[in-house]
Amino acid sequence: MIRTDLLSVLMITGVICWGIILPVSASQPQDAIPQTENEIHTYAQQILREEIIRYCQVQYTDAQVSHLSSDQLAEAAENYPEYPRRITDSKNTTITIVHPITRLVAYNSQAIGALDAVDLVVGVANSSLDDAPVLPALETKVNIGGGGPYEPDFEKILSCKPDAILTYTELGPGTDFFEQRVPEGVPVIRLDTIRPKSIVTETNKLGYLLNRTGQAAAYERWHDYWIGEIDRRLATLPADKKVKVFIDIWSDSFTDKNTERRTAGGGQWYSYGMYATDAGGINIAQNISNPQSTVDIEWIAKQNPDVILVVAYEGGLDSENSSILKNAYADLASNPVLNDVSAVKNKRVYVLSYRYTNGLTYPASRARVAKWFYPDLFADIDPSAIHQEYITQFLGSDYNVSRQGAFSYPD
Amino acid sequence: MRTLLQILRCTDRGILISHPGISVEKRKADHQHQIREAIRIRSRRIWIFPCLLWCVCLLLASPACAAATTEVTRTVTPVSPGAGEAVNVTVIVPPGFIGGIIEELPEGFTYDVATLPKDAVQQNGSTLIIALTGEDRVTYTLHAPASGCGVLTGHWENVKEKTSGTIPETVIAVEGTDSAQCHVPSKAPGFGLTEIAGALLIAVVAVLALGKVRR
Repeated sequence: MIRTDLLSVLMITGVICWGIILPVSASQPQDAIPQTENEIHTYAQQILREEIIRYCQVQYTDAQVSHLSSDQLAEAAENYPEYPRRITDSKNTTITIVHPITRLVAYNSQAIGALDAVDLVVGVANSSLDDAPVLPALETKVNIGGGGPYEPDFEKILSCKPDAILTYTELGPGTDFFEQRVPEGVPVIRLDTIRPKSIVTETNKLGYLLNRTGQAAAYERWHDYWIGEIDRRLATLPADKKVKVFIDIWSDSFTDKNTERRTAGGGQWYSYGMYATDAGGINIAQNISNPQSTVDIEWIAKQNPDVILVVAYEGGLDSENSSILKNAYADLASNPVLNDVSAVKNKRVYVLSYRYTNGLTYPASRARVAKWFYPDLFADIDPSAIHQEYITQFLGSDYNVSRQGAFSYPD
Repeated sequence: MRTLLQILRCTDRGILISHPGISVEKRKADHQHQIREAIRIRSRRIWIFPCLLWCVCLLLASPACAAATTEVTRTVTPVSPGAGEAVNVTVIVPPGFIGGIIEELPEGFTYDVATLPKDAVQQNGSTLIIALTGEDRVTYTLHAPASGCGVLTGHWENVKEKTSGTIPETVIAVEGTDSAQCHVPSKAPGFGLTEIAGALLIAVVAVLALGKVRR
């Protein structure tokens, strides 16, 4: 009898003593990304102070503010001053982590290799295995399925026992799939690392969260060197010499391509339109804004672009040859409506694999496009060599981009 | 209770308690009954005491007990300030303390500045919350009213250890004020609940144990 009484008393007391863990989400926008040890420690102090105050406010005043739970605070204090760490991700969500991430499910693994963080990953999307030729360790991870717009297997994600999930802002499953279903306390980090203008910022944020700031900084230096070099050359280009470009978003599954083409306006299709403007061209479809971003093929002929740049959802590191990109080229160049278009007549139709344009290889693909647009201006630049630099320096692979894969066509 | 313990002690020594006017058989029967009763009670005590010991151990490992080992002190200079004079309050925490200091300011005393950056201090009405992330102390300045007195009360929250406690009260009286009239602000909740829970646990276990013994 006494045993039963004691058990009840102890259970009730245990609940009172140790408290109930409540879900919380701290929020504070943050632009600067800590990179050095001193910056990381300083920011950790700011976050910790803020969270201590918020916690005490709730405990001792009538204030109702979001705050870390007592367990999270204890972990943050235990790992201080390396943690807590906080970013605002590309979905504008504040992500606070209180301990090192060691079990990441990387639905988006674009920057994982360059950050030398494959060892922190336990699960990857099926599409990530396309990078296995340069990151063979990916094949040892749990394949959670899906990739890009396709949903992964949630049970497999749970089986990874993740301490964080990395995914895209728009591409792939939304909040109903991830945020609303993940276990309590597992942050869903949404960073794309595929849009040219945010690659460096997002890589730095991820590097900071994954404790890979050195690698992120090295990438930023490399990225900025080549982007700066391309910018410097393009700055000498007279405005009247700029080529008119049509961006063609090519996919074998797009069935209406004989009569209309998908293109990219200003901010559509993951900023593919920027491949024209970033390389010194004029995007003739800059102002196109219909939801599907499609134009009639006659409209293209009427605009008479100097260059047609095809971004193909094909190719990549694991492609055996560039025949698939050649198909995309032929598909467009052989269309009779475009016979008299300058780009076709002058054989200035070029094809890029989306796996080359999207992601951290951007400086190489931008150099490729710029050289296509202005061969004289970039005569001494070898885009393949830039690509090879990335593969060798950041992925530590002996993969040879000149002999393997399919990244661009015709060169 | 005392009688039973006396019986226990006596039977331990093998001594019969003498009761004049009662037959030997009756006394033998009573004695055997007393021994059986003593053994029954003793067998209960055998597991009651380990159980109590276990509870004590549990409490020792609990935040409530850990709280008792953390000493947070406050010094106030001067405790009898002149009207409008600055009062320096220094709160000293143990080494490695990471957490909050929650000070309830006396009525009429206004907070001015602290030795920590602004992001480490937050004022909510009369409540001052100070976040400490490894600093061993913080000094903040109050300004005394023209007259009156009050009691400075406080709490601490060690978020790393998940413990909490109170800081001893300090009476501050403006010169010429009778400190006996000081008003004590009410306490606020926090991890201090664990201490109450611990005390409750001991009390409940003790009551249960006593109740069983008496039956």
